[in-house]
Amino acid sequence: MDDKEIEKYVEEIYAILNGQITKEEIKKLFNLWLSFHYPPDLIKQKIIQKYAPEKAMKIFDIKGEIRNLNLTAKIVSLKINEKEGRKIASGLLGDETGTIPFTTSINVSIKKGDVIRISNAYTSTFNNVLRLYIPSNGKIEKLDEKMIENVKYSLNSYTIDKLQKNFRNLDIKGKVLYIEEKNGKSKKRYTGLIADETGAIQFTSWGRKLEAGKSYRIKGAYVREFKDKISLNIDENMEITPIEDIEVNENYLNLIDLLNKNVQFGNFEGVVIDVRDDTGIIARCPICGRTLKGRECPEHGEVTPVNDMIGKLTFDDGTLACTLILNKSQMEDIIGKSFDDLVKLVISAPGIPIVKEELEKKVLFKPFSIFGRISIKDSNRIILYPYQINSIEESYVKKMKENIQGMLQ
Amino acid sequence: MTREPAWRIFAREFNDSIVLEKKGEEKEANYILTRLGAKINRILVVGIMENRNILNENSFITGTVNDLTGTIHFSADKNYSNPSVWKFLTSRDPPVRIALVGKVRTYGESKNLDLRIENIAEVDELMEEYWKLTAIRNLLYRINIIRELQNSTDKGTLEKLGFPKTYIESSSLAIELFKDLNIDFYLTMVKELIGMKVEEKNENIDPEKSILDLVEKLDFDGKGARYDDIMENALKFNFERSQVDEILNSLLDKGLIYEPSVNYFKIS
Repeated sequence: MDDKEIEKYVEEIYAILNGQITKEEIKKLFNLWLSFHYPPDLIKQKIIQKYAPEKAMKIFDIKGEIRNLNLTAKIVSLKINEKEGRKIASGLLGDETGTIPFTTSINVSIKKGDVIRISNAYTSTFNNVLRLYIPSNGKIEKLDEKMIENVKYSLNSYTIDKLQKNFRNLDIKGKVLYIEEKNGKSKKRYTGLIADETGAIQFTSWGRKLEAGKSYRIKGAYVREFKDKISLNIDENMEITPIEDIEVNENYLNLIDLLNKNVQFGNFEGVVIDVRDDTGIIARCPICGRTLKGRECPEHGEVTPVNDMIGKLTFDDGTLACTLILNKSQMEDIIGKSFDDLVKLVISAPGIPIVKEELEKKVLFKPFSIFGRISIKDSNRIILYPYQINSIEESYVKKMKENIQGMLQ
Repeated sequence: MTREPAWRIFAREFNDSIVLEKKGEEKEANYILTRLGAKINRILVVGIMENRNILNENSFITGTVNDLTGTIHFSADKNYSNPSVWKFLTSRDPPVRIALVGKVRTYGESKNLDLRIENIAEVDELMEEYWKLTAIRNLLYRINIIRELQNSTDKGTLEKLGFPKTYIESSSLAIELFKDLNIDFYLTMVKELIGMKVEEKNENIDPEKSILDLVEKLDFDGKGARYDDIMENALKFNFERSQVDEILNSLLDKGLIYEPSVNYFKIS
């Protein structure tokens, strides 16, 4: 380290300490630490810590892996695990500048909301996340809770494949592949699918409509788990900015590969080999949407059922077969007749599975490429709910042929 | 149980497979194993329905579908068929381009293979082309696994590479059971199907003539050529086992060769 650089640090420290000690004294101290091979950034923190503890390192300053770290922070969240008879505490620390996850094996009584002074800690990256460790030779002292009142949450940037339940304060970039409006009780609710080059995740957006096909950066989103599935939650108060189109992984999956992977969505290519008998007009409970046999809903008693239409198909890609579920509007599109017209046809020909026959004419033994959501029942029954159904056309087949010719060369 | 997939498979690979013995469990499915390691219970085939015979006082139908590599036999029983299948088979006369899904069935003492039709419909040329390409793609995929195994890549590594466990198992069984597997035979077949030029090793050579030459050449002591020797040598020239049998039969029929004793052939 040359004198020029040292001077630069001295100036910086001098400015922060506001004249509490002279530049010469700072330089002497700096060189002393330097002689023990301390990194300059840490020396800076050490000197500031000594003369102006209130201006010591803030969480925002913690970048990269640092040793001998001292920090004052609030415990934002805390979880205590027993591991081989030892108590391990982990959670999130925060101050006015940000948050950082921490882990410690020091056995002191701490609780959520405590403000603590930590000495001799270090940071290390685990699973792409910078984490603060306070080892047993470190120290945790409790301070007055009022020392830190407001915590600013740091945003965590992840790719979509890395998201797990209860992740918060996320900074996510993704492309909206699909969005539909749901009936929310007070606010409008939209659900859909957002993807990046690593994967896709279902999202719920409260009050904010995003546009399918557009890419966004969303700050502050969080992940929740519902019915064993995680989804990204977005609300209108979050900072949502349109960004340049991002690339999405559009590789095709084989159905057989789903059995060993945790895949929620995908592109598939295959043939409809059966339209099942339970395809057709159905009655649903107007309250819960359950399929009804009569007028009686097991939960809501006697109701006036509403009519709906469902298609249950066997879709097979040569590696495995799955159930493909079509909703009313998808069936209308494929059959090319409106729901009302189909109902009229059904009434005019009692006992004949008109809807099934109409659908068969359009889909049986036809190849499709389908983008949809996957649900796996009993660990091996695959159900595919399509977002997009495309007939396989001549251009697609031509490309397939070229690919295969390439493979055979 | 997962539903059995409908394999896209060419008649030539399908017909040259063996029936796997059942382990004796109840409701166990029928499986055949092809030389390229496909363990099959159900297939999807697209081709031209060439024959259809209504038998047993209108209660049983048999027929054949040709996919350009060979013919596959199918059958349908009125009492067990989907009504739409029965309606199609009784109302449409061959030739017609069809797609059908069926389950593998064996019948008769010689365990002939056929398909019990589950679903059938007329399809267009695009579907035929799409089916052909998927069948080729899947065939090449199986060849990949077989080659990896032949190069003694262990099963665990293959699984880590993403190959399904069931494919790896059935492929190693195929390698074990079909010592005379000839991958080039299948590669040549798909190259022809996709309209690629095939390097002709046996250019302008009449297959019957080649086998006839072998019978002559392999007759070391005047007692005739041993069947096993003929087969072994023919396979080296890219013949497939069933094809050799066919040619030998044809040569016998034509009186060009005869069998001086069991499994020996001699030029007449």
